[in-house]
Parts: sequence; C-alpha cells; structure tokens
Amino acid sequence: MKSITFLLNDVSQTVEVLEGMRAVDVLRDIFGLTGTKEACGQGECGACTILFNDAPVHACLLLAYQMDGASIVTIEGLEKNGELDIIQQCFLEAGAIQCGFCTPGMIMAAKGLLIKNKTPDEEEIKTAMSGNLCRCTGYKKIQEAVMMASQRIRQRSEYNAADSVN
Amino acid sequence: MRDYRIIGKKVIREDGREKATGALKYMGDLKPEHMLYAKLLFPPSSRGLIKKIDVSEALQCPGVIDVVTASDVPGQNVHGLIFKDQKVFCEDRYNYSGDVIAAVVAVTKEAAECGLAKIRLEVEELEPISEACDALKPDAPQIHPGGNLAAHHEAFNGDTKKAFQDADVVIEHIFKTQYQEHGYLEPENGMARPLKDGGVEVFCACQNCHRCVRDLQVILNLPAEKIIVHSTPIGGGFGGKDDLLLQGILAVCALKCGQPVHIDLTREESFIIGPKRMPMEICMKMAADKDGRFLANEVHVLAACGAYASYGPAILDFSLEHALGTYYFPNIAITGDAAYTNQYLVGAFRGFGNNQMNFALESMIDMMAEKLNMDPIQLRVKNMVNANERYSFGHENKRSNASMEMMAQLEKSSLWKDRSQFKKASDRPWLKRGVGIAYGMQGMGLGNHVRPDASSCTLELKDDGILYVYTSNEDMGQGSITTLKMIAAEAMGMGLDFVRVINGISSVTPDSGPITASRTTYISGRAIVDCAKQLKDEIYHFFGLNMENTSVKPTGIDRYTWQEIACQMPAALRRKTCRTEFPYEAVDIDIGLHEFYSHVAEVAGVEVNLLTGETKLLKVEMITSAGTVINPLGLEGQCEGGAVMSEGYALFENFKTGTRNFQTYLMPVMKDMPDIHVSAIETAEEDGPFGAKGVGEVVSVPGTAAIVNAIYDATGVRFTEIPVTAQKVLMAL
Repeated sequence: MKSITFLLNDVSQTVEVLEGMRAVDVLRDIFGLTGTKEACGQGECGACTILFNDAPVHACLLLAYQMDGASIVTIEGLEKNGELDIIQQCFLEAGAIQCGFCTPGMIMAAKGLLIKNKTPDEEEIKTAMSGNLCRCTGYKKIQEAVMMASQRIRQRSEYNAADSVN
Repeated sequence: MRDYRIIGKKVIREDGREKATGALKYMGDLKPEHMLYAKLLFPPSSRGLIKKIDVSEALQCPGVIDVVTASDVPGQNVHGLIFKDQKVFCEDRYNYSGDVIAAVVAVTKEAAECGLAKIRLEVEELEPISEACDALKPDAPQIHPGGNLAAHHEAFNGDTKKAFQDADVVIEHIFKTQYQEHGYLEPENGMARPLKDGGVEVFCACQNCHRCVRDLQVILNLPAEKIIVHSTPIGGGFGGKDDLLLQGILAVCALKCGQPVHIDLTREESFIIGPKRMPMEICMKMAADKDGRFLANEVHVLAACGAYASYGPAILDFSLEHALGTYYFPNIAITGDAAYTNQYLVGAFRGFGNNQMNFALESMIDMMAEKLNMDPIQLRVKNMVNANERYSFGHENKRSNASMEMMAQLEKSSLWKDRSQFKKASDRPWLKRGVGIAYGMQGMGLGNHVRPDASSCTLELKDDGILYVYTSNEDMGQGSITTLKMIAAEAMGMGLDFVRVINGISSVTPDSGPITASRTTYISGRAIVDCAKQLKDEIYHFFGLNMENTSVKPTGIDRYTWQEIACQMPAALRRKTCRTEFPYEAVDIDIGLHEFYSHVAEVAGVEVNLLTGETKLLKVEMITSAGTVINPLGLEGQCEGGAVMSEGYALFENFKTGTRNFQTYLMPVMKDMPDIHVSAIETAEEDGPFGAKGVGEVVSVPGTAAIVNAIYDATGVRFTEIPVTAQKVLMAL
C-alpha cells in the first residue's frame, strides 16, 4: 500500500492505493467517479480520458501512484455551481452525444486541446481527438461541438478582456 | 408538410445533460453494498467436449464465494432468439470460444480472477468448422443435432433461364463480405441482485427488457412477476445487445450466492462473446436488355450463421428480401443458405443482412450501367418500382416512397454534378479520385414472418400535471427517449417540459417490443399518438369541452392547467394504454416481406493513394426518405454515424482470428471522417406518427457500395470483396 495525495477536481485528496492499481480504478471504485468510463483498458479508445496537470491522459494507462502530487480533473469536475462547462454545453447543442459512453472522454480530450490551443482549426481538432473512439456519431457533430466551444471561449475571453480594461 | 409545434424542431436530447456531466449511471456503474464480482470461464478453443470441470482449488482461493456452472441453473438451461439452442452455461460441449463454461464469484475482481485461473478444465478439442461452405459438406461434423443448415429461404418468379438466353447483357459476380464487430464503446456488463420474495432484479443493457424477462422465466423457473429487468441506458447497441448474453449468468449467480453480483467484460471478452455481422458469399447473375430494362436477377447467398442461430435465419431472410432492392425484375431466382460454424456468434447488426446484399446489388447495377453505356442514375431510375406498382416478390409499393425525387436530388447533388471537378482537384498524380453512388432501402419492422409486430405504450397524466410516457423501448443512443417525448408532447399539444419518458424497466413499462428493425419511432410513436388521442378525448369529455372550439396550449387545455386537469380528474381516467401493430400484406412466399421501407440515396467521393493503396473517403452526400423528420439533430446524427460505420465496413474493419482489441480491430476515428452532407425528403408515411418512419439502419446500408463504386471510378479496379484494404488495392493495381 502507498499513500498518495493529489488534487482531484480542485479538492486535495489522500488515499491508500495498492501497488499496480490504475488511476481509473481509484477514480471509479474509491471515489465513485463513474463518469470516467473504461471501454478497452489498453489506451486505445479514450473513454477514460482525464486531465493530468491539464494534459489529457488515459486513466487506464496511468498508475495510481503517478497521480501523487498531480492535479487531476475528471468529467465530474467540469460543471461549476450547476453551470456546465462551455464544452459540455456545446456538445449538447451540437448534438454530439448519442449513447454517451464515449462522451466524458471526448469532452476531456477537447478540454485538454482547448487549454493548450484556444484556436484549433479543423485538422488540429481531428488530430487531437483521433485517440477517442465513437461508434455512434460519425464524429462530425463532435468536431463541430469542439469548434463551437473554441469560438465561445474566445468570445468570452475577449469580453472579459474588454471588461477588465474598462 | 404540416407545420408542427415541436415535430421537426432541433431538440437537445433528453439524456444529454447527464451524459455530458458523467452523472448518468450505466449498468457497469452500479455498485450496491455487498456486491460480488464474477469472472467468466471461456473454452480454450472454438469446438470441443467438456470432460471435467474441477472447481475444488478455485473454491480455496481467498475471497472466492462460489463457482457457478450449468448444474446451478434452476430452470431450463436454454435460451436463443429464434431457436432455443444456446445454454447459459455449457453442459457437455462448446461451440465457439465465447461460450461460457463457469462463473467464478468472489468478493473482489482480483479474487475472481485468481479463482478463474485455478479451475481445472478437461476438454476434448474437436476440429472446428470455420467456413459456411465446409459446414454444408456431407461429411462435415454436426454442430447441432438438426444438422448444420440453420436456414434456407427461396423465392422464384418467371423463367430466369430463358431471360438469360434472351438478354442483351448478362453479368455475373461473386461478392464476399467479412465479419464486422459492433464496436459499441460500452462492453457488456451488468449487475443482478436477489429480491426478498425469491425473485431477482437484473440491471443489464438489452434491446428488449420484456423478452429478457421471458427468457429468464424459463432459465430461473420463476414467474414473470418475480423478475425485474432494467435494460436502459445502453452505451451503444446496433443490434449487438439483442442477444441474451450476461443476463442469465448474472441472475443465476445472484440467486445462488444470495448477494448482488456484477460482471464487467473486458474489451477482449466482449469481442469474444458478442455477435458479429453475418459474413456472406453472394453470387449474383443479372440480365438486362439493350435499353437498360432489367430482365432477371438470380441470387444465391451462402452465409455463416455462427455457432448458434441467434437472429441468423431472419438475417438471411431479410437479406434475400433486399436482393432486388427497389428495382423490378420480371424473372427472379433467389435462394440462400445459412450454415452453422464454430467461428464467433453471428447476430443482429444495423442493416440486418441488407448491408451485404446492397453492396452486391448496387455494385452489379454500376457494372451493368457501364456495360450498357448508360448513366448509372438513369439505369436505376428506369428500373425502380413506381408507386402503386408491385415489387418482384408480389407485394405492392403502396406506401410512402420518394425514390424518383431522391434520384433527381442525387443527380443535382454538388458532388455528383461536379464530379469531374472533384476528381481533378487531386493535386498529386498518385492520388486518384473517384465518385460513386448507391441506393438502399430497408424494411420497417420485423416483417411478415414475425407477426404480430406490436408495441404497447402507456400515457399517464400524474397529479403534478406532468405527462408520463411509459415505453419499454430502451435508449441505446439512437434517441428514443427524445423522439417519443416529442411525439407525446406534439400529440397532446403539451409543452416539452411537461413530458417525462420512463423506459426500459420491465415491471413498470409495457411491452413495446424490441429496439430493432428501425421500428421504434413508427410503431411506438403510433401507440403514443393513439394514447394521447384517448387521453385528450377523456379530458374533453370530463370537462364537457367541445373539441372544435377548445384551445390547447402548451400549459393546459382551455382555462385549465395540466395540473388542474390532473387534480380534478380521477386517476383511472388519466391513464391510457394502447397497443398497435405493424400493418402487413399477406403474400404467399418463403421470404418475409415488409409493408414499407425507408430509403437512402448516397454519393461518395474517394481518393485512392496508388503508392500506399490507401483509400480515403473525402465526401458523402446522403439523401434520406424516412417520412417526417421528428428531430433533425437525431436524423443527422444517425446519418453521419451510419455513413462512417459503412466507411469502416467498406475499407478496413475485419474481425478475424486474433482480433482482440481496438489495436487489432480498427474502426474509423475522427481523422477518417469525411465531409458529410445530409438532406431529407419528407414524404409522410400516412399512418406513421406525424408521418414518420424509422431511419436508424438504412443510413448504414448504401455507403459500402457507393464507396466501392467510387474506388472503381478512381482506379478502374472492381472490388467484389470487402473490406477494400490498402493491401488489396496495391495487389490489384
């Protein structure tokens, strides 16, 4: 057993984990954060994507002890005070959700992309999101949702910037 | 088309928010207290006899509670969608590598895995039958007592022999298709818990909770009222969650151990156990006169039905029905065999046998057009069965059908109209572009061979003025909750905010039938419209209102709010259940026909890399005709998903020995996505809910032929076997 301390959705957490335990098991089984889905267990489908220090990673390939000292954000950490993250809202409006099993991972991958690159073009979105499988949507509406989110984030920051000048 | 208040508007899906936040609990997310974990023992090969199962060491493993086998099944150890030929746990033999021999139940997953490794299994491996053609050889070993022929269907009309002699052009080709994996993101999983009354409650994604209850009654030897099945939400199904895969195992384990039991298959286990798309070898011989009038079509299908019947016989039947498409052939000879093999389980998969057949048919028509030196659209138009004419099988094309308009629109689509420009746009000499078309139609509902095809739904105006819609129809992503909610709101005249849909709970929701066969929108929508009419009539009657001069508002009727109506009316009057059946036309024929169809015309633009052999699907234009569009967001989502699914089928998806994960089974990713344009011709289906039909399957059908026809246009090479992989292209060039 090893004790790890990490920031989970902005809250500091300390837990005892077994050696060899994966991050996805810690999140789902210890913290009950079942929004992180496991669909392949081998880093091939992206359904378990979380943010590790702002970078999207597969929670099935991340060992629990690697989270020690890190900041982890799961899908449950995006909604703030009952208000959806812009990306979540855009997924809804664009119709980018069908069965929903890939959705949390998709949204986290998009979040990771938009933290790094606020103005991705279509090709950059395709590249960043191609590690996430979806069998329902054919991806078009997911790409549109990410594009829509990037535009809204830009508009909002422009608005905020203008506001702070005034 | 009429202007509706809600129908036809873009509505955000009902379960979208909880899916976007991760709050929605899928079956694998349920973790009640004292839950046990089960791991399954699969056979070491794909065919053999079980000599001995020694579980004594496994039971010694710390944490192992029990090992459950066939002898623990309280009732009859049988299930199966068409024939009861499958076992919950194997008895003396196994027929494919996904058969389940035992379940180790333990306090943790790790303990169950430890126990699993300690089971001593003695088997006598038998030579497996891998190919359908081998299964039908006279000296082949028999997989099932009745022999290896799972199904045979045939239909004849006219004199094909004479037609071939007299014809100006005759072409004949053999087409081969592969196993396709459903690839839903949610692997099979679930949980069952014993109930105090000796019954059991099962939480497991499934495309028909009531059929699941009927199967469990037999397996558990329990009355229906002691079995509750929760079947929704489903993390993707596409037909693959129609079979009873885990439910029986879960229920038997939970009842034996007296505690909740959870199973969560790994991707590899899901691949092993789950059904695949039926592979087919299709021989097609087609004749036409020099003016391009079709004279005959002779089709023979040999299909691998897999280890058990599942839906195999029905898939063969459906495939044969679609062998003529929407075209008229005066002379036909249609035959098909489906043979058991030990290679995987074969079952329902979006399109239900039509994808294979449409690939053959629409490739043949393009070849015929070239031979005749005719435009492929004109050749198709010339031979389409017009409204109120009879199809070659004898049933009448008397319902909604917009083929001619669709073809006119196809001709005007930018990709087709400007195809020479599209082809020239490739900027490297080794990148060759091509454009291809295909047309597909898909029967709605279970067809003449499965009658009655019925749906029951209940509408209840509760005390708080909220209308509850009860339907068993699960939501597997196709959006049934949202679609049926919109239909209910429109039919009642209510605001969407006043409607809730409760689905997929066998003890609460009436039997609306399976979520298969593109049937839900049409048949359950119709049941809801019927209920709404009865409920509204009841309200008018109770309040003494006159329908003609009473205003219905989203918030209520006349001067009453929905809540006031609910408060004043006795509860019994506020609850209506209706059952409705698919119409059918009796035709004396061995092939199951459908009363009406949904249609898609598709044009695909590809780019083939002559150096690598790789084909990229660049552009797709899809024209649908599926009646009134209930929710454009839903329609587009289905179309785009269907287009990309057929892209994978046409170009690279291939389930074969050694396929065990998404590294060895490649599915399209976002980078593979073409530019997709969707349009709908909304010719209303008269007795559908607000004129709607189903669209979930047909959107995956013509894409394959359109892509293969486009590859021909690009390279001059005609592929009759899918997937058209880079390797195949390189070999052929």
